Amino acid sequence: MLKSEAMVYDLKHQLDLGKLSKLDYLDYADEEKTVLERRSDEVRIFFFSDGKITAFVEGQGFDYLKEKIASAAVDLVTAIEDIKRTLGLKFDTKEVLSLGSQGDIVDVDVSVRKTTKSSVDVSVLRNLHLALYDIAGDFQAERVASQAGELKAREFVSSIKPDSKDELIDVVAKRFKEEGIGILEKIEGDQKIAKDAVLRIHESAFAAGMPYVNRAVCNYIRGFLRGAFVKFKNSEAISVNETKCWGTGSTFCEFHVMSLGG
Amino acid sequence: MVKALEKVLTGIEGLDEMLNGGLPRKHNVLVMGGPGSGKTMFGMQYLYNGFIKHGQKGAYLSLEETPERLIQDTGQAFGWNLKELVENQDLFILKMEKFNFQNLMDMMQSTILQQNVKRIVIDPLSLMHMCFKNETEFRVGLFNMLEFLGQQDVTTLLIAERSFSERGGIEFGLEEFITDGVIVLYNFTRKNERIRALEILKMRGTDHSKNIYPFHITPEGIVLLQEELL
Repeated sequence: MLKSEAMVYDLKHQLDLGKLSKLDYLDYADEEKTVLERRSDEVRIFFFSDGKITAFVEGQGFDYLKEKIASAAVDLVTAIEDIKRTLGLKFDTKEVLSLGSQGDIVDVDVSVRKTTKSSVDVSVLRNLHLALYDIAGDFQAERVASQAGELKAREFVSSIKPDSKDELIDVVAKRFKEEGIGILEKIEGDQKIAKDAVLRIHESAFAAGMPYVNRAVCNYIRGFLRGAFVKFKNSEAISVNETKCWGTGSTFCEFHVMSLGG
Repeated sequence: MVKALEKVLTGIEGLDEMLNGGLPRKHNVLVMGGPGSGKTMFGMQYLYNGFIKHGQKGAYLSLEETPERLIQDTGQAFGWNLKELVENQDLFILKMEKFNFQNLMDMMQSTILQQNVKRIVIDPLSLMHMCFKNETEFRVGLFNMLEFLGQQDVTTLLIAERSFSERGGIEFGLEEFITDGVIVLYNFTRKNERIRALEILKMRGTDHSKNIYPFHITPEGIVLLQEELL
């Protein structure tokens, strides 16, 4: 269950979701078929039968949504215009949008995995991860995995808003444990090497137990840590290096986080 | 019907006319020149104009100079409010961790994908060699980086140091052949005077001026003197 802050619009007309579901970009967001959804990058746009439309970014607050909603505007307007045409409704789209308001916190559970929930065996993750290296090559695999981690971390830290570096590391450690990414240990390291943090991951989901492959492979974690510190410090001048990894012969994975000039 | 190539205006007076409307969008363009030819200023002006005149965010990825030094040398010299743009995250001026290509790619990727920059400057490309163990690894890294940039909605200037003083004395490296365009900045000596000049050696996908034009560095930045030919 995720909590999100939303922009709410009201078309003030009942919507026939069955008819609207024929539009190729609208899908039911739930098994009970009570809400249709259009995705526009990170923004999710929900259409309810009572004519309400909510736009939100999963797990994010209103400030983050405001940054993202501009890029979703075209998709939102197109959908509203198509709804008018499909259902033969008459209203002023501009007026509807201008009357949009910040909604109450939306509790949305749209999970369709009622039995399996969020569990996936780590071997599935490993296979997918290694296939990425095999097919796309080291460079692309590294870029994809680090981007995935960075994106998630930025969203996460935006919603948590830690007050201190120690709190940041604690919440990241909790998240890693809950998601099965690994067990994070903060190392009081040599401050000449790492200005911000030396972090060790035990039982890495990506690497623990793997044989020597002459490269560090935990790019999702590396990207996540970078994204977390970038968001916390509000600066892109952050470097995170995976200095030890099962893939390079170690029995744990270690990351040095460093602030750079700029 | 062939779709016209979209262009990105540099905002450098005289250059967009030479380029027949600006740099082709999403191109990687090498800007090369010797010491004092104005390469860094050229790159920063491209980014500064990009935001001030066209609302496009930019990122200056330095392999050598510190952000503070770049802001001082270019911004303060021309009255550009670079510090304010950096504070507002409309412009990113970042220095790569020494010899760390992965860090360069991380910063490039995040400024493009998370911060929505549309213009990138990498300065100087020549130092990228130091990130790799050998020439082969450098070439692979360069290809990968250019391929990555080519897939993004950014138009990139890659600054390269080249030692030459006259037009005939250019020795071309790999970078000149694999980038989409090459702009050369000269620093000639004529009658005991230094003259700076610019030539577009190559620009894929668009017609461009084949002339060499002198340019001045004015209080507003680089200005080409199109009424003079060299």
